[in-house]
Amino acid sequence: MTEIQFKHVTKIFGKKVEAVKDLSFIIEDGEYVSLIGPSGCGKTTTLRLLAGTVLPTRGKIFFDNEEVEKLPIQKRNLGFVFQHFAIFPHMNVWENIAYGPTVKGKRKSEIEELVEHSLSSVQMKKRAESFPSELSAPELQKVSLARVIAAEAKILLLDEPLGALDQKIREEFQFFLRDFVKKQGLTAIHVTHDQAEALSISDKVIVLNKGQLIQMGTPEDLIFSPTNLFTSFFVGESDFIEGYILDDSTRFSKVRVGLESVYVQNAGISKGERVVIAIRREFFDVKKPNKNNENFLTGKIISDKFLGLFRRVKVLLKNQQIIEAKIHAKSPIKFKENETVHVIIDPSRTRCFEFPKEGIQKSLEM
Amino acid sequence: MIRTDKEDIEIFFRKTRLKIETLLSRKSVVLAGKVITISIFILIIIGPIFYLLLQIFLYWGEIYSKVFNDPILGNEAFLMMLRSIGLSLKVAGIVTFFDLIVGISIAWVLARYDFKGRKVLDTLVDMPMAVPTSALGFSIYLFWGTNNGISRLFNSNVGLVSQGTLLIILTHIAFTFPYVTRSIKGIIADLDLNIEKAAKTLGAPPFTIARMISLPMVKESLLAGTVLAFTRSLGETGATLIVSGVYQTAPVVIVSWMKGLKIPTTAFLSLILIVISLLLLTAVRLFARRVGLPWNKVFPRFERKLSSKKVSRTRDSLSITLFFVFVFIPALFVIIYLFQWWNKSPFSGDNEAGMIYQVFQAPDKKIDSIIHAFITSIEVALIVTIVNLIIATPMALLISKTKDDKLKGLLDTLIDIPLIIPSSALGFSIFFLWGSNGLHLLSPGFLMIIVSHISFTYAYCVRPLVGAFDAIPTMYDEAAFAFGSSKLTAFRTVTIPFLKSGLIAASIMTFTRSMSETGATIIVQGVERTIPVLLVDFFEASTFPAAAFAASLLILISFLSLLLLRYVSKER
Repeated sequence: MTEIQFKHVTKIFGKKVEAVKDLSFIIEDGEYVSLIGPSGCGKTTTLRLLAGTVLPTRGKIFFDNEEVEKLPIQKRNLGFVFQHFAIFPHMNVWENIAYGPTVKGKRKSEIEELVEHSLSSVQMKKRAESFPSELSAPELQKVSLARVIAAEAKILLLDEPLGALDQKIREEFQFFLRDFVKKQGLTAIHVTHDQAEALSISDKVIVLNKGQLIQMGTPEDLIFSPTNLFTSFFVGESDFIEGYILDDSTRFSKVRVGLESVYVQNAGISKGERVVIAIRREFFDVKKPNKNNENFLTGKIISDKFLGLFRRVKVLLKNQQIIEAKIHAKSPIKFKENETVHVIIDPSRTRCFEFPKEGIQKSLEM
Repeated sequence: MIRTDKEDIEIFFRKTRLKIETLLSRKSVVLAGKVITISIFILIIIGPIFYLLLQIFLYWGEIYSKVFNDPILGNEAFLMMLRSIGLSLKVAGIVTFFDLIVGISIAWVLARYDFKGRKVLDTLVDMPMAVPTSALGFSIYLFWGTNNGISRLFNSNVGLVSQGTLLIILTHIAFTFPYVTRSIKGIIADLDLNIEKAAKTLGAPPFTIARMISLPMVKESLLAGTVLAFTRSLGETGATLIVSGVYQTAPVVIVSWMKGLKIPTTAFLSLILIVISLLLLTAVRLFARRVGLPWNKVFPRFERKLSSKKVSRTRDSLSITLFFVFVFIPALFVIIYLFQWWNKSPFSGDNEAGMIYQVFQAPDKKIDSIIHAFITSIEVALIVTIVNLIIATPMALLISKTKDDKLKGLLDTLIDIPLIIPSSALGFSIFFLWGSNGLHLLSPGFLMIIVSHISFTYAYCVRPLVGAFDAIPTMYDEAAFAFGSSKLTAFRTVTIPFLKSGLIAASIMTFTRSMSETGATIIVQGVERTIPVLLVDFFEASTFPAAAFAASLLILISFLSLLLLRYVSKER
């Protein structure tokens, strides 16, 4: 097991392209961490920096408090799993798995032991003599995991490892993969563009945008307590409502939205400040007007669409902002166009952020 | 225990090799490798050309007096240069025009239609490119220019086409149009058919689609192939020597002046030819992307007519017929001729005019010189292939992997130079640099043949290898590095296996090209003879049956290597 630390790592390609900007984080021993972010956000570069195929322009990377650049590549104990597997096509399964220990100069008997052990760890003993062209995609991915084990890797780098698998197999493989990593006691860094995959497989998720770390936290953190607008926008689906703080003295702050006001989670922003309220589309409710409704904004229905498991209800708020609610399809109430409704907000499910100086659009740019 | 001993030895060797490979993968060593690669390239390929240029500047006075101001001939040498270059350009222009018509339609047929014998036709189309041009030229001359060939159909006693411009053109079309076909066939086959379907649903007739949609997409390769065809025609020596008669093209003039040891005038003419070729290459490199195919205008009625089944069928069958009548049959006619003249003249019945007598029985024992030349050819081709693989592989790697776009572009262009400049001019500049006028390291003969062949086959070796390197997904290298391979270990264990078929293809191309070269060889051969040159000698001595024997031998060899090449590239 290995602890990984990035200290102010910057990578500039050519003269201008800043792929990674001042990146700092710590991944603990045996943690399963995913990197997500829009394409071009620097996830792949981060992975390459870890692999050592790309060297940082500034900053340092440590494995167990040792600076990586000083470690010869053979001692970094890395294993790489690629989207398209990168199983050497001219070698059979056995030779592929033996590749790591062979080029590290291990003894033959030791290599044999390692290969046997890794083959059984992915239940592929029977296919040892097969060539890659004879294997299915999941089998190939298993071979690439076995190859990592045989190389005695402690750090597992996964570059879209499930990208080439079918949707159904993919979900099964997620569990297999996590289980495998935990059993083998590896520290895993998993790059993916699939949020659901990242959220379900990882201990922690790192959100990157434009080469910068936006937020690092558990999947629950990202969903329930995003620390910034970008995370709440990028992970899952959120709507943003602009307003001003009216009262910040209690657990919930009172925010003026247009001519109405609602209570939201107190984010320590003082009275009079302009704010943005972020609410996940799954977390608010749309109801017909009723005296018993509490903490709501009034609006008019624009549309009510069936999406399968959910219905998407588009509402025009009184302050002319449009928000969308995702309501479970089971809900019996149907809305008509132009019908007046109450958008009910659960204060503990909202996040409140200072209004970004550059404007909302700009701060969400990818 | 014996087993442990064995294991100890194995691990010792493996560890030592890994250590050496790690050492050799160090940055400084890799850098040194790059420097050596580029130096060799400059020394063998670019050096001679620049040396020639330099010498002409340095000795301009002497050259000026020989070329423009000879006491006896005046500027006759210069006028002759102009005449020959004019002829060469005219021929190359006409040839390229026909190449485009024939080349594109045959490429289309090969890429789009599935019919019985498509693969055979595909191989046959490549044939003229692989067959040594002197053999090809000789065969075509026999077919058109003597009373053995086509004129028999008309019961005529003389050839239908005599030596001269027309015969040169017929010959050049035969071996240059495959460059056009080859350059676009693969890409046409790979084009996304949906785009054409989209055009079709919008109402465009097939001919318009081909002209406005499909061909523009292969524009760059088509242009590259066209330039290759043009320069190949411009620079060809072997076949032209045979079919030109008194109408001498520029490369032929180089050869004949060189034979008369008129060094200054030869140097000047070589330089002009090189400059023309380089200008062409540069122009194409610079403008390839910018030039649009002309005529965005559509002529719906006319083009719809051209697209009608009748017309397109006629066109397809016509292009294939033309191929057989003008290329295939004349190119292989020499084999028929050989059997006609096997042991006696088909006209007089004279035994001494037959091949058997000329080759095996006549007092000059031609078979001995044939065997000797044959061995020389094989030796040269083998050595050239091996040396080129060694020096071309790192160059291909450099071109494929360098991240410096400028360097990549520069090398990419420079590589093509020996491919497009006339080989006789290249041969001359090598003679000039390495011989008594320059470094004084070699004199015309075996070694100089090898150096010159390395020079003009270099590109044939580098090109397929660059392609092969480019085709390897980078993830395999990355995987190898991640598991602890040094650069060289990764190269040996992962890259080379991917490269196998590319290496074989490059070897066969280099070998075939070396086997078939005439122009450069004549300039630098000294007393040595290779088979293609011997063929020209036999031709000039009017011992046609013996020449036919040598030509058939050459055709056989090149056909075999072509089949081998096919087999190898199919395995991919």
